[in-house]
Amino acid sequence: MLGSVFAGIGDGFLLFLIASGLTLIFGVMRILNFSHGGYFMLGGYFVYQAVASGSPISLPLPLFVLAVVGGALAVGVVGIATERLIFRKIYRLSDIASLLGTFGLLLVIEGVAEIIWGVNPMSVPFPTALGRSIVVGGVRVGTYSIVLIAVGIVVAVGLWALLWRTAFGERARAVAEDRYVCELAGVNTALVSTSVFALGTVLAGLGGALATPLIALTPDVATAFIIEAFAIVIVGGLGSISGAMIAAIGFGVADSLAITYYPPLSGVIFFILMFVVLLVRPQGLVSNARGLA
Amino acid sequence: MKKHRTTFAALAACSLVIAACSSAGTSTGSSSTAPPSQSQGSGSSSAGGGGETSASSASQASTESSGSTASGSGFTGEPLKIGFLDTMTGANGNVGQLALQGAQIAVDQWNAQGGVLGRKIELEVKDEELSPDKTVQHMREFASEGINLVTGFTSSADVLAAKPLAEQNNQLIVTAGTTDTSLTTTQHSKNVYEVAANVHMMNVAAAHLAATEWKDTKVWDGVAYDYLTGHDAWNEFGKLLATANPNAKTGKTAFVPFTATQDTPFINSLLAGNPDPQSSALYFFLFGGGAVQFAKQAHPLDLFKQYKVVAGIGAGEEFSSALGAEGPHIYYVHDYFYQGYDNPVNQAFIDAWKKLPPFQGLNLYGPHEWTYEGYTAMLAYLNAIKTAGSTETDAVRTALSSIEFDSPMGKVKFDPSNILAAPVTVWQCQGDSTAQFGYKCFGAESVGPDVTLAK
Repeated sequence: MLGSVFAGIGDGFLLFLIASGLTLIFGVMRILNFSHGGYFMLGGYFVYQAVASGSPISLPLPLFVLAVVGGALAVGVVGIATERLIFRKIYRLSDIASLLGTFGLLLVIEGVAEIIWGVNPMSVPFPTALGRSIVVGGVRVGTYSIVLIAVGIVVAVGLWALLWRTAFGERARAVAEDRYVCELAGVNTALVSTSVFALGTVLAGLGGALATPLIALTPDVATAFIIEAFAIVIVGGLGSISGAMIAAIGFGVADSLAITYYPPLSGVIFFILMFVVLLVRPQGLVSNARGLA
Repeated sequence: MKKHRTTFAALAACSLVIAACSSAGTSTGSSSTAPPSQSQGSGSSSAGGGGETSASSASQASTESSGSTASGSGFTGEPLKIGFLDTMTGANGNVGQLALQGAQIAVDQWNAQGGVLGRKIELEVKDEELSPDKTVQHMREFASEGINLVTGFTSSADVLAAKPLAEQNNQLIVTAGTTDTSLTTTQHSKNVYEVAANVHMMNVAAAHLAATEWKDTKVWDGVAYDYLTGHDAWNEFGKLLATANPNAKTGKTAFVPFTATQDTPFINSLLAGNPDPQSSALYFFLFGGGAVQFAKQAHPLDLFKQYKVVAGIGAGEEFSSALGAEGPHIYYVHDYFYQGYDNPVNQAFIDAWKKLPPFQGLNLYGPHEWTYEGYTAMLAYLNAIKTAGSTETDAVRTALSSIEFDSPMGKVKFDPSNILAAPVTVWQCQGDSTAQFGYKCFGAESVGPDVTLAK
């Protein structure tokens, strides 16, 4: 039981890293960004390119940390470019058109990745000292899962501080609540949008970069993870970072328990919970009627 | 605004369903992949019709596959187009691309010797994107283009989709990579031949070893994909094991969904059975990216070290290549390992493979078994055409069912059930940080069709 809960929490925090950027972008820009999975995938490939393409043997921890930070920032740069070139046109479209537009962009990113890195599964070794496990409460827990939980907590606290304790956060929340009034008040809403989008894609890139030791890198990881991330964002409440964290952990633990105690529900429990929550609270677990929560 | 959000939520829920459906057959590239540049014939048109099939194919294979010998001057007829239909893009695109590598090697070798029946051989490559619908569409296109001989295929489901059309249009299919046992049993068709060892053959070989070389293993846990073939494979292995080694029994099982992103709970469920490193074994029926992801997440928890034997059914060196030094010690139970066979055809195949550029992201010491399967499927066709002296469907089918031809695994022929009666090869690989690619492979042995196809 304890082992399943630990595993679920670790899995949940990885999903939170992806979902947090997704919900942040929705909160400010009001766009359901299906291409978010593509930024996640790029984060993984950037790390692979930096550390593993020439040597699958071992990976010193400092090099891995540098690659993760560099990879996440590089994804942010890609995010800025796509926001300026593509998303500013998508913002003006209807909800369905923008949804399809971002899904199309996801397919483009996957296609480009396939051209560059091929379709063969690739992987990045665990950084030294993190590819083992420790026993906690009689349960074996991977040290890397503990790192993911720690990073997830740091990201959650950091996002909270950024949005609620800084001038940038104040502007972002204001734009999220009423972009028109902000423009009248002289706020550079385009800059805020670009900044928030960059931050969201950095978070996706960070998730992808940190996931590399745990996954097989193929172009279609973009699709695999974005579906779960969307379910989390919807259940947590669109635009709610705290809701995303609660939903991610809840889903991670529920899925883990299902696998342990009733395997036929594994993978399905996720979506059953989503529909139950949507029926009971269509606005999600944590919601603010306007803007970020 | 609340209504607006609710609309978004409903929209997103619908989109999730759409995305989930789309992800199963996503096309992320062009629908048709061009084959590698082909070698033209050398002009030494020694390969006419007739002749001793096995001897001539050995001679064909010993010819180097080099584009530099191309001239095409020796060809006397119209080029012979053979369809190659496989998944070339997306999640399993590596399977089709590696099979195409093998088919192209065979084509280049034969063209360098004057082609077949004096005709230059050309591959018409189409990407079926792992979709039965696309498969049907492309089979129709082949028929309209006058192509009656088709190879390739990774997915057994796609072969089942293609089978009625093949029968209706009198086309032949020699599958390279399909492994579902039903194709040559309950779903048998006189128009479909299978080159790869099927799941039944691999299961028989694994159970045979469980009763002989691995007789000290007492409990077999299992991990497989959560789909019909995964469940069937595990259930069949359990029955075969009970017959072959009554002292062994099956233990914990984990069925992992293809779409799983988190495997730790499955790993924990296997560990909960407290496997004994001295007497437990693991039946590992995962492949592709899912197998690599499972092993990555199992690595910190030392799952594989809890088993004396890990038998990888159907998996191959792409698994060890992706994992590098982190790769577990695993026995692959599959059809071909390049070190396992000492004959001129195998040597020519390996030599030709070595001249190819490295496959993106795949560090191999020798040709992959999927490359072997594409190569051997093409050898089957070319030898059959040569023996039949015709490319007509009925004549080629008759020849396919009767000829014995030289392959990288030695002389082989098709069983009456239409599967290639070739050995199942068992070899070992494990992560090794001192090895060139971070892993090493060794210790090949064969379990012959007299065991795996015994009725």
